[in-house]
Amino acid sequence: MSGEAYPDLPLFRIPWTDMSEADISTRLAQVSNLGPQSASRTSRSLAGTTMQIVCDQGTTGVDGPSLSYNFTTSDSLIVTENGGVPTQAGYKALDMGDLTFFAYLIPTELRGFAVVVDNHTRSATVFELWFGGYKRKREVMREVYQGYVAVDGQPPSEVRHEFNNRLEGAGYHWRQDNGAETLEYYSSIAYTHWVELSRMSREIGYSAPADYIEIGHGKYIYTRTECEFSGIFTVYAFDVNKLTQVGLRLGFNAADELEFYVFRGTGEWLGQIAKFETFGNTAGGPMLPRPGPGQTADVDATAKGARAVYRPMETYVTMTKEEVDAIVPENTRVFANRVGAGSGATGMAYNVDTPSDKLIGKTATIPYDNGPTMDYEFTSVDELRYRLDGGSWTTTRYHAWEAIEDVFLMGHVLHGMPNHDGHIVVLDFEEGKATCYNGYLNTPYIANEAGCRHLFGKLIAEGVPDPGSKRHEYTEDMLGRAITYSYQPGLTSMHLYSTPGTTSWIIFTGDQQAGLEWSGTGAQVKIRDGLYFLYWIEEACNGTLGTILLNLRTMHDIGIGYHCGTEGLSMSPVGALLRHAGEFDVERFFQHRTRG
Amino acid sequence: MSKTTDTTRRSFLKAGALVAAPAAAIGIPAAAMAEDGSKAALARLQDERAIEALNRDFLRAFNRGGAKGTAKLFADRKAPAIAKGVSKLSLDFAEAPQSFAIAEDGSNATACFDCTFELAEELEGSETIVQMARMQGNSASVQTVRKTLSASYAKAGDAWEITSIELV
Repeated sequence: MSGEAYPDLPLFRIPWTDMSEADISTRLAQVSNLGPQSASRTSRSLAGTTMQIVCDQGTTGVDGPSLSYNFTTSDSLIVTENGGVPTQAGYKALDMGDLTFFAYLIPTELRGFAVVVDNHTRSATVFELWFGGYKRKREVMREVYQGYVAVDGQPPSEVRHEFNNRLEGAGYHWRQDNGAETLEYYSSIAYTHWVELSRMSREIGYSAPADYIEIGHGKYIYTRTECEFSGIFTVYAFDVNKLTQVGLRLGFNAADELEFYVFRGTGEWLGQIAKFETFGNTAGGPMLPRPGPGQTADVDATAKGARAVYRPMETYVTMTKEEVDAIVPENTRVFANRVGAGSGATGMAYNVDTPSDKLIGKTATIPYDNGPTMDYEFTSVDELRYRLDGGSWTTTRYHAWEAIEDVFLMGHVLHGMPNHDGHIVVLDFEEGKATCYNGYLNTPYIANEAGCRHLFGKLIAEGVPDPGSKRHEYTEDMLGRAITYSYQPGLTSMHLYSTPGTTSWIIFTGDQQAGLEWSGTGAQVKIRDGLYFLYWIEEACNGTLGTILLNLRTMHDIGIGYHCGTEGLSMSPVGALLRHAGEFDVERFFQHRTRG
Repeated sequence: MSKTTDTTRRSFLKAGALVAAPAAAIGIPAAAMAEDGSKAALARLQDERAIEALNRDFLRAFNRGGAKGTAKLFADRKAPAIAKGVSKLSLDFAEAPQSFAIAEDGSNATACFDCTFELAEELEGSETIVQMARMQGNSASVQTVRKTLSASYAKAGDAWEITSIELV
């Protein structure tokens, strides 16, 4: 793809090219003898020295290399791998206290190394990097080896850097010497969530697999591979006390330009949310591919570089508009009875309360300010009549749940609409307001991926006060917060509201470690203090519009999912038991929006 | 079908191995002993060590990557049909195998071991987070189950391979 390196598109909408081995090789050949670029002055500390690093087995059990270096100058080295043929390569090094970080690519190969050496303990972490991908060569793969620096006449160091969960739940703001700024949430033992503050719109956060390694004495190593997107790999060592970092960025951006540079950076601690492991448990990643019950993905946990990577598009069956329009009219299930697979109300509905019967006999009119006028007659606990803009009456199935007294979450579909709309509405009989997340299909990128309009209006009914011009309003109250949602035994997810428009979800493992993570965009509306109406769309994932009405007083929610797949359109309830996991201090990064 | 010779169970484990036994405890055919007893006993020990290592490789591969990851250890290079939901398979190192026998001609072997494993109940649902939870090995519930692992082995050249494994 030619064009902008960082176009004004979400990462999941950029048409990443596959890039052939030849494409990549050509680009690497131009730089491998020079080494990575750097905006800061690099270190000369290695010039004229030699070093031998002996590695243990890697994370997947593969044998680690023995690497002998002769740093002939401050930017050229000769490396011998496992006693093989010496190879010259360009490199750059950066020092940070006792640590030395250096990186290089091996000429004529799609491979390189990033190395972190603790000169005090003579311990090292070695990242072997290669353009190998899962399916696309542009995705940088990595194998991680722990090891030591061998010194003649001295016994091998027994100190090793360690994968653990010590960073789990921390958040940082980093500013690199080249101007790149990010918010980075270390929200899992094996995943990370980050927000690009300078390269891209800060409205959206993204999730990617990560490594978290403790060096000791407040120093750690972090990696991120932007799988499912560019495939770019970032690694840095950092000091949580001094808030400094040194690292490498390697990979191809959206313009297929090679980014191969080392960087220094300074940071800011944004907070620490809760961990949920048993006290004293410090087990960390990397998470290896583990086929659990019901998981049929093709995984090989013993392959070099293997780790658990959530690749949502691998399991998402996308549909055309014609396919959507053909299947939905005859295959729409709204709060279907739980009669088996495909009912649309299974794994996330265990904690859903019985639908409310309090609407039976009520009538209401909702003139949305920015949408249609809806008239309702609630005839039973699961059947209502509606008409849109004064048209003919239609009977349809619905369910409603009372979140607090006189405030209900209600959902139904609108029949005969060209884009198969569904309305998920907060009916506020106490204040006379209504807010609707209007789901619809036939969206531009994937026809069975939901879109969502936000409709605000007043609720007109007998005995209900007129709110005048007051409406429920968008809120940033949830920004930076993390809430856990326990849906059923073995299924707890944590939402992290990383930007005003992003919901990230992190799945806990059986040992209550925060594990796989993904994210989508949406909005947040305040109904009351402690009662919030949120939605997110699982874009380029499975297309679901997820909504929840979240009660921070009862720590319970009720939600409705709107989803279209090959089985048709469904509207399903979700409900969970909640815990507040904490909050990051990030509001100032979004003040252009929160003030507006 | 080859004739087989049984090992004694207790001596087997005292050798510190799953299926390794001191030569004296193995029912080495008298003819072989008479002909060259030490050579046959050594060959038997080598076979047992090899099968022991094979068992360990199987456990390691299974617990790391499921049945699929064990296919390379099988003579037909096919993964064994082990029930869905089985994980953390382990052999009881404190007890001797229920049985262990190597064919007289050293071409094949059979063994039965007490084993424990975790049997997980699949998470219900098809939502995104259910798929993610399954991918990282989550389950609705887990129970520890004790059964017998029945295995057979065949020698291919100098190496042993598994020909069948099942939980009975």
